[in-house]
Amino acid sequence: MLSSRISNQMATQLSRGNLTNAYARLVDLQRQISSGKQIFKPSDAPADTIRTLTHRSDLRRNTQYERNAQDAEGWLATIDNTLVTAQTYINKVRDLVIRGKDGSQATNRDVIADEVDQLRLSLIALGNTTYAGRAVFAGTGDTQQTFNGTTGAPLAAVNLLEVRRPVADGETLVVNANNVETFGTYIGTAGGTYTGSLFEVLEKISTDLRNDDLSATGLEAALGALDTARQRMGIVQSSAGAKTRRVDDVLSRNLNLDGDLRHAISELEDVDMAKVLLDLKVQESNYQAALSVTARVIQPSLVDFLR
Amino acid sequence: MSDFAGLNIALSGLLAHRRASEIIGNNISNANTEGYSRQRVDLTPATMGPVGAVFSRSRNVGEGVRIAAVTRARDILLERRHLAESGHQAGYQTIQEMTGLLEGIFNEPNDSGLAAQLGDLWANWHDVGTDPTNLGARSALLAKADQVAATLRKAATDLTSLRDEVLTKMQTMVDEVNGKLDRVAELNERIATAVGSGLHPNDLMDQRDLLVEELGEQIGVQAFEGPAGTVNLSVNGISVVNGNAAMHLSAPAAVAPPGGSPLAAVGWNEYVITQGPFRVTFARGEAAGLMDTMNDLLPRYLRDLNGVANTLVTDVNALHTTGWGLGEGGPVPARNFWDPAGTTALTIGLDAAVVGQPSRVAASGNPNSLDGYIAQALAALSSSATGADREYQTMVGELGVESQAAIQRVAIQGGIVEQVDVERKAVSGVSIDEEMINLTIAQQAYNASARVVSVIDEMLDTLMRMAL
Repeated sequence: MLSSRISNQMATQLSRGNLTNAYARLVDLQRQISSGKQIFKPSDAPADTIRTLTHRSDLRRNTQYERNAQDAEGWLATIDNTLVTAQTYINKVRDLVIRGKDGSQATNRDVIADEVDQLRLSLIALGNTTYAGRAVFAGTGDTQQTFNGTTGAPLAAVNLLEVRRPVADGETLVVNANNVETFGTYIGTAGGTYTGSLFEVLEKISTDLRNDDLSATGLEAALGALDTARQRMGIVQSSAGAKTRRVDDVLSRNLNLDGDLRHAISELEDVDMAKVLLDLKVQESNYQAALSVTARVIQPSLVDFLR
Repeated sequence: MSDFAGLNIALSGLLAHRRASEIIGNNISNANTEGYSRQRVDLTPATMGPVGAVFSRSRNVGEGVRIAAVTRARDILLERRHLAESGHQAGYQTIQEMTGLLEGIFNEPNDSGLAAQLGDLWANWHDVGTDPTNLGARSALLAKADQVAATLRKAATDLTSLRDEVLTKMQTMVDEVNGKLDRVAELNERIATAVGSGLHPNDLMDQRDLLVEELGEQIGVQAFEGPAGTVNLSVNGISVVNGNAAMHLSAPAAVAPPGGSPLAAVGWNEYVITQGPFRVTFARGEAAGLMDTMNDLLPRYLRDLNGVANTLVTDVNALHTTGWGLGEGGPVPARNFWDPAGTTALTIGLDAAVVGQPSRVAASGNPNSLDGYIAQALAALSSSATGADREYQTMVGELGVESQAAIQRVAIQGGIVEQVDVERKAVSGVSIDEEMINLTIAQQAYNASARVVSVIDEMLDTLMRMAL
């Protein structure tokens, strides 16, 4: 309660103070409405500011992980498609070998061998498949292709290192397949060998066909070698498929997290319009009331009533 | 008792009430004057004294009215409380202003603040890790890193120049304060002289008290009543005005901080103000806020910012030196990303070896390789619990808490100051209604005294006619 004695300075000071406070609250509300934000500087809400900053950095990281996962998906899909095609080629070779082993085809063996050679070159080309300018079977080597186009020998720059993509905090996916696990170890025997890489196996088949070599170490061993190569490829392909599913999971998880984070940031930073508008209405009438009362209180004094 | 004594009595009434109406006029004129204390005329009956002269014959009627004193209406307790509370308020307001400026320097939360830039930087490392052959991504990374460094340097420069501005402000204020201390001492002397001559130097006292009040807000002086209406002032126990003698504060000087002080490490000095052989520390007033800003607030945040820069440089270089650039083979080039000499916010910058050389950014963990392992490991620093991001976020949070506390403190203290001020003005402020009533009373009394004169005149007239 005010003191018993009221001086004019005191009355104006009190009214002025109250009016200033009311106006400041009004301006604050107007600012919130016009910007749609309720945090302008850390002191508006220190704890919420830290949470906003953390959420924002999580969101940015999440967006980046999404891009990484999309890149991973590209690598894995490329490998998957390549190996599906490669396996149909191997199956064709398998059919050709069976035809070539048939005694009635003796005169056609050179033609069959030519066909095998063509398929071999196609498979080497598949082995040189690239994704976004990177040879997918070349490890992390700095090279545009994996294999020599004619011999099928891995290039010197090719290595067996993993290409990794971080897709979440602490979660890294290996998105490539190296040339050895996909195509077998290249040995380099002239004329090819059934114990070497896929391309050497095909070279040996072609050689055996041209030489009419149907012995146990000749064409007889070809089918076993082809089956081994196809199995090897099958393992790599199913691994790529499993990883693709994992990437899909990561992407959908990412999408959920993205929504959650945006929601959380909006909860913290954005204004609850209905509430603020109501506050503004109340504050406006408060301010107007304060103005009119002040105008009435300050004006009159005894001077007006004395002659 | 002469026959004309009645006229004298009426005259004293006329004079006293004319003087009273003058004082009331003065009060009304000063209704809006800051620091003015309303004045009151103390009237007292004039008597001939308990012992009359030898030939006087007192009729015990009285000799009219006399002005005993013109006094200032002031409550000394409230004045002193107001001095102390407004001093605290001025100190708090300074701190609030400074933390507000700091918030402006860091400008968070914001899509373009340092937190956002750091996030972008880590995202750029991800891009380089995903596609190490992409020179565009590498250039973007270098540009972003340069921007982060520039932002850090800008913030550090802003802190430094803010310190300089505060120092200048403090020096100017000390000069002003010294002038005011002189004037208080001078007014003290004039007041003492006037009081010694039996006068009431109310206006001088008001002037002096206004100065004291300003000094209270500036340097938080405490006032003590001295003899003969004077006031002595002291700052936190050190006397600055004693009667008619004023001491001077010397402008803040940088002193080497005591050994082991962390301030030395970041190139800050502690500032002190001295008065003769004494070191003046301010407990309140704007000076307390400014000195706190220079000696604690700004150094603390610069130190935190340096910590962020240091973590960034150290963490990134530790990994970067273990990697290979694009198309590089052979032994590890052991190249730094940040200039290892610049581990403060003011000196952070890219290493000369990578500036303009995007292919030299060591993204790979193996020679002649496109693995991007190092870039990926660097990108993972963004979620490190001890990384630069977290350090910076913590710092911003601390600033927010400190600034919010300052705002609340000012609001609370503002309430207290207002309360005391209102109570003070209730005693010493002018109320026009009250003055009008007093004026009416004085007017009526004057009129009545004049009436007494004319009645006595008529009586004397009657007496004269008898003589005819």
